[in-house]
Amino acid sequence: MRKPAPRSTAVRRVGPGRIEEIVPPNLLLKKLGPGRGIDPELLIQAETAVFALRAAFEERFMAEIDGLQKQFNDMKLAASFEIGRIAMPVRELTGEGGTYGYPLVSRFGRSLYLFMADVKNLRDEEVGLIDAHFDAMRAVVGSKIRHDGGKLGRQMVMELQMVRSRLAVRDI
Amino acid sequence: MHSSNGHPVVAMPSRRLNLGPLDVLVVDDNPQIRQLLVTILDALHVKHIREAADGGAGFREIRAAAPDIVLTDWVMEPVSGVELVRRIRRSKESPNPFLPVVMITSSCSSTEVIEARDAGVNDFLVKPITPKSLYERIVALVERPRPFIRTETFFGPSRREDRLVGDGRPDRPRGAGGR
Repeated sequence: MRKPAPRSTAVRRVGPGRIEEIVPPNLLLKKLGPGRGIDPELLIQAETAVFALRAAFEERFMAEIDGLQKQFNDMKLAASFEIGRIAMPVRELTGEGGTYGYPLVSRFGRSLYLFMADVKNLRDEEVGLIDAHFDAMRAVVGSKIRHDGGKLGRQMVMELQMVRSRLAVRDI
Repeated sequence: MHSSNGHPVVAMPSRRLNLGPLDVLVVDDNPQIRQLLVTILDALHVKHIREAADGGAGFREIRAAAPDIVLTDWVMEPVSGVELVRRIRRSKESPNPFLPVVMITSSCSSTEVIEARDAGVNDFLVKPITPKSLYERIVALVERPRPFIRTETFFGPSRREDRLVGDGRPDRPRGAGGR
């Protein structure tokens, strides 16, 4: 099924034929009718539906983060760091944290991704920092430290910041 | 509060936007993210939800089914989200160059925003995805669409902040700071 492409209902040339402004018909509004705005009850339903996925996320997160840590450990053993192989999966996985009530996971994951994108040489301290990120993220989900994590969360952020500042790299 | 005849007055909520008739295409190579988006859309009562795992499959779905809105991830192989947007806007095979597209991204770096805007995206959904952020993007696409701009080098929604109200009028006057 193909719909015909909407034709512009208004075309305005701005300037001497250089910029054309087109106002296409609002097909979405036509299709959805006269209602307006967000339905708070529907939003609560959607939030409840996402909440129901949280336990599955926690289980999957722990399994996948362990797998990524194992890949990193294998690189350590081989003394060959193809860090790009785990950088993007880290970014993808941890990006989901905030959706399920774990913004600290997203924060630590972003910090780790940026560090892995920037780092040139992996000496013991850099390797230690990567391990510390993995440990912190595992602790957050394993101990169900949700939202900003309160005092414990702030302490974890501060400790990672201290290690990072010693390495003079981008802050978390 | 009571009416003049003594009966309680119940404030009737104004009618909310019914997303039921929408047909939405979700394009993401991560099945977990697709599941999340489908869960949210389903809870928002969107009846027709389609899925594709990369930009190429997404474009085929657009040609076959003509969805109303596309939600697409950025980083995908072999065809990325940005390339999908370029095909929607510029390909002769595109059934609807005005198709609303929301780009899902892990970062909101200025480089990425500029590249996606130049490709012709309507809006961004920055991770972490939440029901509220997705709902707000969809409502904005319906109620405050942007006009399209065509130049020698660009075709897509206006990259200015001006939006149109539903009937096509600008939602704020263009005064001295306007065009």
